Amino acid sequence: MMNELRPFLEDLSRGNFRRALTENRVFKAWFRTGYPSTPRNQALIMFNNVFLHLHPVRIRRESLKITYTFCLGGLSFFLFLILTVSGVLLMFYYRPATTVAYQDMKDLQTIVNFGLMLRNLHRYSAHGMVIVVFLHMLRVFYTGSYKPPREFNWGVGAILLFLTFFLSFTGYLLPWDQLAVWAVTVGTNMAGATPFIGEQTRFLLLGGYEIGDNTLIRWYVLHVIALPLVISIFMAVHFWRIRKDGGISGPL
Amino acid sequence: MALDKSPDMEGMTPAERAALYKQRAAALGIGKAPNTSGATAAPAKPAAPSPVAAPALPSTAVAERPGPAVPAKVAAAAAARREQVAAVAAREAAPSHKEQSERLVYVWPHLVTIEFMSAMLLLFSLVLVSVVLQAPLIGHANLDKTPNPSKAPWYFLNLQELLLHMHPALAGVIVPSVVLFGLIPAIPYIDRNTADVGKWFGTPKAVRISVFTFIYSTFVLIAEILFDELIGVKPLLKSIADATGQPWLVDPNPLGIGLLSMTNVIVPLTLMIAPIFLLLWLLKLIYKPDTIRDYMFALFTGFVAAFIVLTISGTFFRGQGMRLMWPWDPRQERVE
Repeated sequence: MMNELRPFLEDLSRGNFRRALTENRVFKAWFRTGYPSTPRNQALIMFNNVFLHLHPVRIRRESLKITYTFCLGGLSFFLFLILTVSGVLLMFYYRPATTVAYQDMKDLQTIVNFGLMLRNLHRYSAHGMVIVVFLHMLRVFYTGSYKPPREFNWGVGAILLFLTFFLSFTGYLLPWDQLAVWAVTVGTNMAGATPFIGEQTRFLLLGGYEIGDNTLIRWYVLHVIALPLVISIFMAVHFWRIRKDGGISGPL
Repeated sequence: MALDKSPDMEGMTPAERAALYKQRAAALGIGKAPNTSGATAAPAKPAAPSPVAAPALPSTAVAERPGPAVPAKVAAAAAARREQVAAVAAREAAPSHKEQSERLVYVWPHLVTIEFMSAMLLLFSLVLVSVVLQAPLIGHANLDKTPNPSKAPWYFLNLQELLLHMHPALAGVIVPSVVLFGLIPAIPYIDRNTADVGKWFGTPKAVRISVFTFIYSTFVLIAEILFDELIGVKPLLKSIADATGQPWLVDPNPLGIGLLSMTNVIVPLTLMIAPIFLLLWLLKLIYKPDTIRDYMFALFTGFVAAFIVLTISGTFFRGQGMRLMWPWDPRQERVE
């Protein structure tokens, strides 16, 4: 034990603090790679970090061009992250019951520190995500990036667009104000027009014949757990598939 | 060799050159079985055509090969193919390891910096907007008081706008499902040519076709919305039905099937689909599209234009009673 500590203590006593801090097992366990300023470390940091390993070590130079992608795919994901964090914070203050939901919203806006900003941020990010995901689809189309071998990922993208709409729409009911319930009434009436299974679809969405407590808890659970899980799975497939299809598209 | 590209072929089209190859192959006697008189020569079956067509084979293999005869057609095709391969090889020498290495950049720091900066820029602007602009929270939900107008969230107002013009099953379910789960996922299986991948508006006519389509679609949609508001499919068919004594024209449930209704389904569907075919015909006439990709630009741009125009119309131009009006009309105000 003392033998192992000796170099550390020696460094300390000689005033070599930087070495004392970095040249030990604890530091190296938590910071597995040196600062990525050499090609070796630039590669290692991508291998050794679970978040960065979504990316390859190197990419084509053209892929960096901002006017090619406008970062729209990455920003869609980033908006999802903002929405997850702000959404979890909102969950601490919001109870999905018709008797209290509206009052909780009022409290968020008037009593909770930064509650108003938190709610605004969540709402604007949700609108933003719908817009950015749609723009991302336009970018992919107008650059021909859906073509072989990326047909499958284009299809996954269409599912992600649908899930984004659905996630946003399920959140729309939760404030339980007039805007929310009547927007959802309009929406579920539209779904109720489905041929053959219209009544059943509407019943499934509302949890009854009329919008009420059952509807709120259904949409809440879909909004905070079920749909985020589903969309995460499809996002994982979407990102993984980019790598498998040879990175983001570029000129041949 | 006689079957290689010769200087006099400069400026010829590939088809002309192919014809010349064929002539020369015939002159060289390729295609006739060896050691037989012309009278008895049966058209020789091409023995395995693959060695002939293989581009890497030296050209002598075609002309001087003893053994089974090679039909003139195959020899000519092989020569044409050789020429193609040579052209590709001349245009694009395989990049050396060093060149390839220079085309690649490290994700750290190049890409992660861009990602981080764009993410922070977005976050700061969202925080800024959140501080300045309040999200709406109106009165407590009351199922007995219907607000007028009642609107869905903005990204569904395109469907709500559509709903005003046709059968709810068509507007609210069938059209969006067919577009989102049918037409959009089908695009890459129809348009497979990868020549323009990685370039914005990759074909020479893409921008012109897309701009034309956007303007055309916007005009058609506005005209159709105005037509339905000012004249209306239902009143028009009603007067035709009255004049001709054909009540089935305005029956919302002919034969008990709502989806056969003229006013709710057939006419609106025609008004949706006919302008698409008119657009494709106009494009063919004006721009003479080169590939299916050009048509795809038009079809997708038409969808984008429809999404935008209908969303704007449903959001800003529909007031009380979902009647069409200017955004500054006092009847835009929500009443209960």
